[in-house]
Amino acid sequence: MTALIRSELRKVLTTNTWWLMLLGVVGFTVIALLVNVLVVASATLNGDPQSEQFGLGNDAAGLASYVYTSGQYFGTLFVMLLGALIVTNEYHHQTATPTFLATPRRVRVIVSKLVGAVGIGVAFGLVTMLISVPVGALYLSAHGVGSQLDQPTVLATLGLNLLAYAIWAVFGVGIGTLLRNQIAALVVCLVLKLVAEQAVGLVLTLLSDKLDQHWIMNLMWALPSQASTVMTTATRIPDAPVWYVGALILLAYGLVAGGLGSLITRRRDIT
Amino acid sequence: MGEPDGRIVVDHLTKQFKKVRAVDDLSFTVEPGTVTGFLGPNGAGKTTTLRMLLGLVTPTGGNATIGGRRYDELENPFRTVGAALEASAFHKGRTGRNHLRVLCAAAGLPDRRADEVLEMVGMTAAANRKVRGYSLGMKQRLGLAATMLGDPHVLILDEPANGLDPEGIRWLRGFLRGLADQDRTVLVSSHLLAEVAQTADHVVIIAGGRSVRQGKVADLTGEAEQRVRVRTPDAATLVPALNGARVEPGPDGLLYVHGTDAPSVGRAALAAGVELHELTTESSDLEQIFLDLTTGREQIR
Repeated sequence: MTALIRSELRKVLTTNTWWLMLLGVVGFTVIALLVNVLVVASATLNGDPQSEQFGLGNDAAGLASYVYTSGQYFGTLFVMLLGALIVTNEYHHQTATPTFLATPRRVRVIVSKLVGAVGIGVAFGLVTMLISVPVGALYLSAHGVGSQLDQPTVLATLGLNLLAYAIWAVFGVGIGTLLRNQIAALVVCLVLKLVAEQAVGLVLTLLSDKLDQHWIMNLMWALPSQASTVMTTATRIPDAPVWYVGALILLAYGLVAGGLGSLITRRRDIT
Repeated sequence: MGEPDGRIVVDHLTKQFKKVRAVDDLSFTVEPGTVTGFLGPNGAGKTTTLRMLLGLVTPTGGNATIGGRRYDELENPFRTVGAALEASAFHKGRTGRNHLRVLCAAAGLPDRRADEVLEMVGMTAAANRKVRGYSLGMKQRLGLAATMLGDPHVLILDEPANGLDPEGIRWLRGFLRGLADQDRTVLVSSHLLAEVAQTADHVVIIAGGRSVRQGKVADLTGEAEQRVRVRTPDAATLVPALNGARVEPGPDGLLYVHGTDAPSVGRAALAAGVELHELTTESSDLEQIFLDLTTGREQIR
């Protein structure tokens, strides 16, 4: 199994996609960090009236968590796309043939891809934190709040941030395994992350208003992005489930997609 | 178990795709240490058969084994079987060497095997170039290199000569001959009989998914009909002098005489006092036999 995982990591590292993706992740992290520090943190620390919308109030640990996880939204998007590519590349470039010749038990290949994608996802997450944490800590310290790195909730958030990268990678591999078609998989990833959330959120809001059933709004937490938000916010969001429920929901999406995909892959003819 | 290492047995193999029966109750055996040509026109079912043999396509019926075991039951497939299917199964942005190293890792083979097999196929100079820049012939060689990674007894090659230039084909023949001399089992598919006739001991010819002929290449060549090519300015006198041998007129006053040999034709011409400008023995080539066997069997699929 370790040999197979090594093979999968080698597949990723011997083509250009990974570092282009990493470049994108770093780019978005830097932008997000600048916005979070210069707009959100500075307004909150100055007590600007407009800072209320950020909802961070006097919670220094919450503010630190917010700054340290900068870039998570787009970072996890890139990791999901990379996860999908790890699978669909095999069909797109027809390398599925040599891959399954080397390892005829196909589910092993999928599992190795999952493990490899998680490793790469976590590595990407670490890179973003290597940028966000030092810069954020310097800024917060300079403004008299302190780095907050001794706060358990802040440390928990950092760990959960890495977990988010890992789970979104699993989700990507699941979608790729299920769909096989590269373009379709990438489009589904983008739609799920960027569009579907808002659309479904809108529908749920309308429904709950019309029917006057407030519980409908809670269905929102079952959506991937919302589950991710629940998971990575160390302080409780009102009405939201506990963080690990978010993690389980997200993991379930990834594993169901990957599991279904594996079942199909096991039987499918490679032509 | 029971089967000697390296014997390929295809037993009543059938594959029904949605509308087409690509392979239809096909059976044949490849003995260890022989080179077998697997022949048929395009769309005859060769690739589907090989993919079933290699566990990539699930048969509708029958089974295919190597050394008595299904491919997906082999403990370490690369050490038993090396297979090259299509010449385009590479990531274009990966170097040839890295392609092989990925496979080395998956098969638990040491990385140096990648360089060794590249050397074997004469690709060392292109090892660190991306596949994007490879010619079709270079991709074929890279595919062949991959088959040798685990130093297997059995090699299964699908149309390895496709896209090779004459120099490449000559190289391939030498390569296959070398494998056979090392007592490996080789199953090589082609849609051109002549391509494999020089290296193969046996042939399995299929058309429309069914076997139309199996046997030794030597037997097949023996069946090739002989004819005598004659050129003369006085055909009118020569033909009656040939004692009823069947004469078929060719282009430019050529005559093809069947059912006799060149000395007899020469003798008859001398006796009749007919001038001869050309007298040659011709055997209809293997390609013709192949066409005769397969024409009409194939359908557009």
